[in-house]
Amino acid sequence: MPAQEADAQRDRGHLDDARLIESYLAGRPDAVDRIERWIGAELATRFPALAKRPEEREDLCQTLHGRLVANLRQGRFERRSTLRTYVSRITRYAAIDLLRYRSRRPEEQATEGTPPPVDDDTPERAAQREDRRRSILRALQRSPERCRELWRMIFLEGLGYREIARHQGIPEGTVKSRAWTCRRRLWELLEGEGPGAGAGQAEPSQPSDDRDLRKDDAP
Amino acid sequence: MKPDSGAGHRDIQGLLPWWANGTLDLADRRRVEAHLEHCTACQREAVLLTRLEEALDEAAAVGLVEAPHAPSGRSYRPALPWLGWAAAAVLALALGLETGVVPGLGNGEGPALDDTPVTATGSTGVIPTYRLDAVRRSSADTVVIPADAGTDFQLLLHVDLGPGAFPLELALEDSEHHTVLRQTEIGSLYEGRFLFIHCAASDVPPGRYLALLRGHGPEAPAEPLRYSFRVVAPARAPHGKSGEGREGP
Repeated sequence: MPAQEADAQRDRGHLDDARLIESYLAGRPDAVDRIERWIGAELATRFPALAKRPEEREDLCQTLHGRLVANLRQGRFERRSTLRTYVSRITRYAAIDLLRYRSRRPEEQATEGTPPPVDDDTPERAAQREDRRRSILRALQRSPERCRELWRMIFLEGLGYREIARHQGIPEGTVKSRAWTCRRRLWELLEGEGPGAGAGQAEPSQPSDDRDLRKDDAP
Repeated sequence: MKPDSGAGHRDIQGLLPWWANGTLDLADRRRVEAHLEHCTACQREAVLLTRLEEALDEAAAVGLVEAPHAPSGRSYRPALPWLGWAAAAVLALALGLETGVVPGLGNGEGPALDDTPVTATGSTGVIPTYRLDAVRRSSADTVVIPADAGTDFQLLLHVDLGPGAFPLELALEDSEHHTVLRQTEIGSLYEGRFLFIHCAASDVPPGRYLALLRGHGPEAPAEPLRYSFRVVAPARAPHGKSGEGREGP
């Protein structure tokens, strides 16, 4: 039964992750190397220039290891994804934070000190994160069907825009402009959630129609 | 929150979803990264898209959206209607929002109150999902599940255990105390409150069942949580008329 196989596979994955976490927290070199490789792969995939700046990369890696150890010790990895995905995303957030920090003026950097912490662990921040997560799920639920399908193809199927264009039989430019419109719609829905895009408890509505998407389909 | 203007900026924004999913070629990756260094709007977008990716993963993990077909993601086929009203009901339920109640399934009578048969889309079609509420878990026959045309179904257990009770183990027993389904090392819950259990029609034929959820952590309760329910056979309708559901053996 495919669903049972999937469950079994997920359980095995969780067990593998649990063993790796145990080894990593015990400081075993093979486990640390494995996590390090995942961080390196994420940087190479999305931050090729940063990945080639040894000092910054090293600093970022140290920050990330510190953050990971703290999060894993506190049981804050909730196994909603695989450990690898979790490490990749923390890496991405940290790298974006680093870019954001570097883009600030020197006097702002001096005021702020070090780059902001990634995913820090005060109860308030945790509550904000949870609110944001729910807001995004709700916004996703309310997005036009065509947008939801596009996000599914991008993030679950992992398709590039050329492949999506080929599969859908539309020009690449149309795929990109549709993504632009869908992102704009997502922002609007999140802004509709209220300040902080997370506190609102609005009732779910029927997915809105996608009339304005058709405008963007003109290549 | 207004994005920066300019054709170059918009061009990069158009690439961000594929930067986030890691499918851009090296030249485009470098362009996006260079732009991200100074564009705060795109930095925010990049974070948002990463969170969106997380949300989709989560929705797929619990069957709210069709899971990816192949790890390489190179064998796309169109999804079934995605996150439609029925799946939205499951999502709303999981988000703690109000859901409608389908009449005629115990609404307002005895313990069988919250047995709304909401449905979720999956890769093989629509899977009925039934919520077994923790508050009513000790009541007999909490939820009546029609074994409609022998389809699989999902149980959505409302679990109120703290993190100190984990990992959990679930055993689904039939009326003769035979275990028909077991899951071990359950490490987390969806939304921290719900556990989805997929029940194959062949494993859970009509009859009475008891789901026992045991905690193995240091703060686990001594007694397992109990969720009882019945699966009933499809209604027999002589002369083409519909009738009451018949409980199986």
